[in-house]
Amino acid sequence: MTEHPDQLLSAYLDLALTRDEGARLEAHLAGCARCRAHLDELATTSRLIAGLPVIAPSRSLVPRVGGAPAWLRSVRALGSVATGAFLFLFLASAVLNSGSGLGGGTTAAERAASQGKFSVAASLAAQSPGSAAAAPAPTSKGLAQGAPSPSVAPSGTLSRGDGQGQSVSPERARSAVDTVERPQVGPSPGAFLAVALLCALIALLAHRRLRVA
Amino acid sequence: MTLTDDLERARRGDGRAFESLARAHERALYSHVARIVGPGPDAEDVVQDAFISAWRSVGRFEGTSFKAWLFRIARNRAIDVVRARKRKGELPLEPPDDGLGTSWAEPAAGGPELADIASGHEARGAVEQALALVPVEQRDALLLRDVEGFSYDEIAVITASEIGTVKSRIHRARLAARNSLIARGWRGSAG
Repeated sequence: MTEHPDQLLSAYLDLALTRDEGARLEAHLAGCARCRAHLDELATTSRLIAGLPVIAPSRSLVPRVGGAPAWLRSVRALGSVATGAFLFLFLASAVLNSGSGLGGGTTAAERAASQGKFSVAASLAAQSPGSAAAAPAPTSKGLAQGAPSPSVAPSGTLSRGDGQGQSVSPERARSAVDTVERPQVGPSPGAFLAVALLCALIALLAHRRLRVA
Repeated sequence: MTLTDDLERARRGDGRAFESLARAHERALYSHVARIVGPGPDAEDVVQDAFISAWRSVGRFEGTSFKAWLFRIARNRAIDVVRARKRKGELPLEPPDDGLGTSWAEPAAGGPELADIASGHEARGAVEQALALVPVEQRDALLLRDVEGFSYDEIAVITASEIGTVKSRIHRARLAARNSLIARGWRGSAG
């Protein structure tokens, strides 16, 4: 072998030569200091490259292809049902607490007002325990001095305790009815709505996780 | 649970087994791709796309080395990214072949031996830079050999090349890296 077999040095290092090629190269190396030096340099270069640190990605690159946990399906179903149930409760609670839309209202005063008996409505509103009209204002001098309470006259007019009848206008009666603070029926509608939204969010997240899987 | 078991289960459609396999090769695969296209979002996208592609076709995988198959998918995509950048003019068509991988540069007298500079952060940076100067397909072959330990036969399959081409690429890449380090002042073993 008269020429330097440079092209074979790397393959020799990597044990990728045939037996004959390897034997011929070794015979050359035995008498060639230059090729031995180059072989050493290539070996060192190879070790340097092999010793380079692993470069880590900034995030996980493994796609989620594994099946989602079985309980996620239950969560999705339960979340959907709960969303519907709480939406129903929200609507029911809103209707009950507003008292409107069903005709006649929910209190005696509202029913009287809806039938045109404004004076009766005003009177009932005034007698309602939660009524602002019935509650004497602490600063009202007249009421504080024990003014006679109104009573309902058969004629449908609001009469005072002194016997003088006084007719009540529809506007005033409605105003009186409006001032009645209706009692709260169950938790507030907002609470039902909030729970319904939370259930919907849980069901949506479970659905998305299941879809990805 | 061994990787062989995971591979069998993945081939039958078990996604969790595939995820386990992918996690086992994630860092090595990313590291290899990052040294071809550069570290960052492009390399991450290449690896993630390679995993998704592998998952879609793992049922048809009939080879013996899942790792080699993954590397084949990922390096093909990485090479495509490099070629696309060249078409857009983001990279020169190929580093100028100034004989870096064909002739032996003479080391300067009095420099440190390569073994002496092999340790330390600065030395690793020098080797990384030397590698970056190697043409991409040669670099790819050299990394597959020196870092991942694939045989020449496996590299031929991964890169869809002849054995002779693999031998030539690895030798030229190693010689180019050696010459780059010589250019940085290393005096070599004969200095």
